[in-house]
Amino acid sequence: MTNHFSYRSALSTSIRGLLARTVKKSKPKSEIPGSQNANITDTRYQIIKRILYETPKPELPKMTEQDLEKHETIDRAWKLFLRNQQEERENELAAKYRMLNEANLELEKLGSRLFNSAQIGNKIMMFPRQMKIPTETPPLNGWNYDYKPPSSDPTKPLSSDPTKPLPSDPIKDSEPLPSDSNKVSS
Amino acid sequence: MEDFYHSTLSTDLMILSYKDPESEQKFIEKRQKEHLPIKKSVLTRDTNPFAINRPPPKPRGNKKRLPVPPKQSHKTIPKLLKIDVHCMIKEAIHSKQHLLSGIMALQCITSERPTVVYSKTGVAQWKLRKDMPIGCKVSISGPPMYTFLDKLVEIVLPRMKEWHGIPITSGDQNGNIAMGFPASALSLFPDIEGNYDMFPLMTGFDVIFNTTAYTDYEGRMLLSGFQIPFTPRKKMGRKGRINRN
Repeated sequence: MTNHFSYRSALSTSIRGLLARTVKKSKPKSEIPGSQNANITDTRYQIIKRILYETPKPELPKMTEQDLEKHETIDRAWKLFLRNQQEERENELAAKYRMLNEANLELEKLGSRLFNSAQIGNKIMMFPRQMKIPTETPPLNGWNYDYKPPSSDPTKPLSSDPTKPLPSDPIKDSEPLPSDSNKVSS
Repeated sequence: MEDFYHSTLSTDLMILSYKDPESEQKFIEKRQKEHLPIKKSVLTRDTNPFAINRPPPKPRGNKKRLPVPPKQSHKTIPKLLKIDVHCMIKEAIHSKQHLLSGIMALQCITSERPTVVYSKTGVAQWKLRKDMPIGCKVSISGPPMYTFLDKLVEIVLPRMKEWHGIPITSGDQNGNIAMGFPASALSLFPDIEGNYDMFPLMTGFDVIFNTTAYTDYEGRMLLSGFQIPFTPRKKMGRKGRINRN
């Protein structure tokens, strides 16, 4: 997902070669402003125009009846898979929300200081900057064992506050979260 | 990125953006509030049979009526809907071909073909006439949106010079947050870095994150989850006050 090697430019290699060759041709020997610059840009713009608007549209593959059937079953199977995935997620979230709501209502009945502080929350509530978004492949430099969190800096945003809620572990996500409705402000 | 959102961010966001019924009700009422109109005569609209199909009256003091959010549930968790990337090219005023560079650049970044934006009014000072092609925009959603966001967060934003983060006051009061990039940022994208010579004109562009959040606060929360940095104002005085709602 975040594998940088999988990023491909929108231009195919043949078109890039074409562009590279014309750029080499149109570079002036001496830097004369004005007309020469206009000349360079003209050629590149013509090529870009050609790429954008005059390349032939890719033809759709011609499929036989059997091929079409196969294609459609695969399409339907994929959509079904996605649909099931979506439903699972929704059910999980709905269950969690129900638990959250019930816990909050129970806390309200108790009428305690905890409930009042849970209502207010923090003014700047954001995810911490140090949070790592998981990737499909490990980083090239490996794990940094000698990492030290940055010292408190007045110019840094308040979001790097350690008391902020940390992202939940996807493995432990199956448990309901009744205690998390107590948003106790630091 | 999308999987990350579904597995980790959504549950956390649900908990963080949970409001107990009282404060939720207050917020909905605030959004539903009908401000006083400019002309007092409009207040007798209900009794006046001639006023049936007239347009709604304008509020006093230029107050906006923001959309009313639905009752909160597991379905109202803030989510990134789409990203709009827009590029205004001043050089297109004197020669239209400069637009092509912008179109190509946006296409390379976002993998979608951008549409041309025409001017709505004319400004004589800049020699701009009405309905003149002056920029290009592209709207991406779904997997291409998440790859674009990935590129931004991992490659472009860390390498930008003299950029400390989106100001914490940014947002359209309805959860959509926008940011602008200088022309130098365009060269940091891996798709453009490879073919840098092919682009005759390097333009700056702006990126608008459309979220399903109904407040700036929630929108910022969502985007910070995607690791987009925000900087608070140094002075927390009147101007630096953060509006939670």
